[in-house]
Amino acid sequence: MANGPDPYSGLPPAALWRTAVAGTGIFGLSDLWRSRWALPGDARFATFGSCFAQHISRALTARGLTWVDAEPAPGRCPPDLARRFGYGVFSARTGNIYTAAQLLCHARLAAGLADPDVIETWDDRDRHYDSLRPAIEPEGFATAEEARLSRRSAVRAFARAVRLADVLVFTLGLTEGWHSAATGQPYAMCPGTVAGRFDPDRHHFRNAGYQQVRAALEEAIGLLRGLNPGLRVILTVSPVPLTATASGQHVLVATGWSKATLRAVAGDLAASDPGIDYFPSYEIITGAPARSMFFDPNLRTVAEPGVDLVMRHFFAGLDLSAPAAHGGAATRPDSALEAAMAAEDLVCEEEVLGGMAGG
Amino acid sequence: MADGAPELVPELVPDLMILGDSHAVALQVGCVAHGIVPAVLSFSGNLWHHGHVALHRRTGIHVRGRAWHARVTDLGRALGRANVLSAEVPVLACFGFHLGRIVPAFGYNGHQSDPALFLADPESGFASSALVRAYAEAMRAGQLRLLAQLSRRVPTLAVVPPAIYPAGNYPAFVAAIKERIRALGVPLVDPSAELFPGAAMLPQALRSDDGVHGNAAYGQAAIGMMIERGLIRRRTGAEPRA
Repeated sequence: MANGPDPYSGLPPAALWRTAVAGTGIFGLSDLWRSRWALPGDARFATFGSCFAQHISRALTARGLTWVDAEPAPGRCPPDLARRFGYGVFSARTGNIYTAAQLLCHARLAAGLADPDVIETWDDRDRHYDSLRPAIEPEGFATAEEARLSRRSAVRAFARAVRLADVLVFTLGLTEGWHSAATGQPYAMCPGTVAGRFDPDRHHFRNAGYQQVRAALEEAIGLLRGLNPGLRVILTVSPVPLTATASGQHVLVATGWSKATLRAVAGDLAASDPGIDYFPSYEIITGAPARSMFFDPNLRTVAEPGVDLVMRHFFAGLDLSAPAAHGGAATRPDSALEAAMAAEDLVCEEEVLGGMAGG
Repeated sequence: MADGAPELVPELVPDLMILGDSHAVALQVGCVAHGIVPAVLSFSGNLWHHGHVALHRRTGIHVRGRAWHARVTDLGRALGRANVLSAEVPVLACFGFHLGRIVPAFGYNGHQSDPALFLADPESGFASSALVRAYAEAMRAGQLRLLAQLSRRVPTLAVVPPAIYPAGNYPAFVAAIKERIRALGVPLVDPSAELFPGAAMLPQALRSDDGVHGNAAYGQAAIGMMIERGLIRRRTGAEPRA
């Protein structure tokens, strides 16, 4: 048998650590990701997920791309107020979606397979909290009814975001989570931390393994495609480590397990489904070339330069070469509002002048 | 007495001052009808909304824009004093709401604080009472600060505008701003609520043709209610014209 060249000879520089990583350094990395689809030039992106996903919406907006804001803040809302109430952070006011189980819960609600009113509301003296979004209002809701109505509003908006989007960018954050022992409903946070009261009989811990995460994601994406058959999904894994683990392991080890599981699921889904892609934000921040330089002093949160670098790679790999598909602005001009308010000014000014003349 | 104010000459002293936006007109008519002599300073809600009206040490009130401020100096001239504010002249303050400048903007993206209207409109989004309150406070912080400062200088009664507005977010904003005014310690009267307890809206007969303001009958009823409740006083010996 003739000896042919081995599979490693003739590999491109990007395939070799020495040339692709060690030789270039973190800021010389290139071709880390190339979108598997040619998206329309006016592609619409919806973003959800863990806290790292918040950066993606900001970057998309800053680049002038269309970020779907299906639950915008009230008109002329001061930006700090909007942010305090969870507006403009994700494409709907879901708050952080840390786990695949949470995403599945949101998808079921959006698809009409579950009644939003059966989601638990946590009552704490005179304040009320949505167990899917316990931090969405800075001081909770005044009544349980308000919490339920606001959840319905977010469910509507989540469905609208999915319908409007060409691409859903979902950032996986955690495998660890808490759920209702009675109903299986996942919580965004462990009861008793941000809100609610912990009851070990009612609130159970789960560290989802590969199969559970994958099954939940597949079902969730299937339901979202039911709302929008053309929806493409970009999965990312948050590089932000766990704040704390309830697994009994050291938090560093638990973080490794959690991220490895999420990374494996995301990679396998992208490999098996042409409608799913994986973007390596996790590798950019946590990989050896970064030498942990992008973490804040708490070694957890990612500093702005790290976010910038991640987004630079995202936009470098994004292919927006397909013809525009939407034709026109997705937002309404302010002119109608201005005209209405100006008309009222006129009426009021006339009243004042009339009063003067009469008096 | 306000800072630097000279003694008032009794015959030039009005019974009260009405300071506010276009809703001042109905209150003025009501005062006159009840034999109350009002001094009136009213400016478009737009000026209040944009923070163009402020307290001033020398003149009492200052309005940005020469033409607008001329109203203050004209009033001062009529009163025979530079400072139009006086501790002896209570102020009916009908400013701080200016709902037409904030409520349409609040609802522009479909926010609805009324549960029934939210549920009936699948394109709307629910706005919690906390969001309405926070938005109202953010948008009206300057005006309400002015109201609180005014009430520390001169006796002040905040007057809520008449309930003439569409259902939905308006009542929530009125409630939020009223709550804030009370929290600031400023006495407040809501003529619509006092005259027609439990009614969502002012009766048609008391509305002006523009669909926004109370008419003369409203002003008369509102001022009459305030006199009856001892919130304002008629000059001794004065008789109502109506």
